[in-house]
Amino acid sequence: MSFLRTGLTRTLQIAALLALWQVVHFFTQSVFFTSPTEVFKAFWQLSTVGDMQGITLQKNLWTSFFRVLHGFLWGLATAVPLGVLLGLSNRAYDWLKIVIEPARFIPPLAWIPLAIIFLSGEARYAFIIWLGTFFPVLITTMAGVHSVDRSLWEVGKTFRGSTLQLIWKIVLPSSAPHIASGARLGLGTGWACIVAAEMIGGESVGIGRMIVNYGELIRLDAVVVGMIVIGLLGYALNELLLAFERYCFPWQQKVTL
Amino acid sequence: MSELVYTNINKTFTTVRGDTVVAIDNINLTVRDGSFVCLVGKSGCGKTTLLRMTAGLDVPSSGSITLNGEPIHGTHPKIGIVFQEDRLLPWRTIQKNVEFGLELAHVGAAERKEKALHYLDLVGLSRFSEAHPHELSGGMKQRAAIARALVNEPEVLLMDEPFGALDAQTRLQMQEELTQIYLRENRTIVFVTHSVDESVFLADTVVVLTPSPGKIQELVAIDLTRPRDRTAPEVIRYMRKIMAHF
Repeated sequence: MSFLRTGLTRTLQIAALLALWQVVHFFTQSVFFTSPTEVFKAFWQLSTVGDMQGITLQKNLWTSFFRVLHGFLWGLATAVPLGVLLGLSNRAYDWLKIVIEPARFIPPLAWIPLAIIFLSGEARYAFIIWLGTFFPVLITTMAGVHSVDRSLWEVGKTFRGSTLQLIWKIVLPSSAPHIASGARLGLGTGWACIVAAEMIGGESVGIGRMIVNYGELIRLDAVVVGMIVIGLLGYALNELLLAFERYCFPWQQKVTL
Repeated sequence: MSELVYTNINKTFTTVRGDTVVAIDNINLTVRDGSFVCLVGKSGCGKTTLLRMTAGLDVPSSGSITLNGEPIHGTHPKIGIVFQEDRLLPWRTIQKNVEFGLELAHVGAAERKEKALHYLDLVGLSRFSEAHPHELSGGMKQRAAIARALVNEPEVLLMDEPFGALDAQTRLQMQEELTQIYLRENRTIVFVTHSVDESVFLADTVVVLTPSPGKIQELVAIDLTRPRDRTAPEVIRYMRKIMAHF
């Protein structure tokens, strides 16, 4: 029942928003201010016929998704081990602090010139998305390791576990919920970098590329289709990962963000 | 055979301001094989510190602790501990929690399971082997923690106010169950508590400690058969005797 009610509320919300948009469009009388109907038409055309190069929306989206996944997995593979190390060892953190702390404030966009010069092909996309993913995952992993209950570590010690055993059997499971939340946030920031990555990627396929191409033509209806699709896919992925977290960590208090 | 001997144990701390505080002042004590010893005293008398030093989680500033004549350096395979908090791993089932120590010691899966189920049965938790800690009550979690300590078959079981966080009724019940476990398992137990009636109900020997600095005030041998009647005149007499130091 509550499920039905939520569904109904959501539908009404979206309908109201679209109606408002249509009304504003009507009064602005501008060729640039696109309307829901135009966006829907563009959506239909992009997904059936394809864009100006004949590439369908699905193909663009799929390609971008795998690019994000590629950079994201690299992000996880590097940020999680480093986060565990820096979380466990204050000395290691002290050593790397002067590099890591400033580096995380450099926006991925600022790295674009370097990426263009030093990388090509798939690596360029992966690098920009890796940048977007790496720091959120690193910081949450470190926080997760810091939050490990010292008293549980002591239990492991009284059973004479080796440091490696205690990391594997206490630190990692204990910080896993933090790492999973970090991964979810990292996937979000990774997605947010896709347009930047595809601006410089050179290939003509990809949702970000599509947005840039139509932007140059001032075809805002198609641009908005791209924006909405990115937003919805990100939302769906986030919900999926949230459900995964709840399933994996029932012993943790509820996560919602 | 397991004899736990404390010789000239001292422990001093340095505070943030740089002052030296004597927490334990020259404690000498022998815990005989199979005996049940309670360390009783107000907070600050060093009873928990003494227990943690026995478990290898703290180091005495001077003096030695030996088990069967061998000095204890760090944690010891023959010494198990139950803390005031259950300290169960929340992501593991109760059975997997009990298996934890065996797992760290690389014991095979079949043997782990067999032993875990045996001790879960001993503490009356067989039905909950597949539950997670958050699904259990405080008393049940503490029973699981006792099973986890027993499964490694320690000669000496240390207990640091294990029932301190439980409600009064559960606490009495747990004391009775622990008496049964002690009678059946016949392991040496060193039990820290600030509750005099708990110590008289459980122990063969009550070690009364006084605070600042922590010192042994008196050793009281409780010469009563188990299980004991909490309201019996002899029990009350022992309680009075110990209470006199508080």
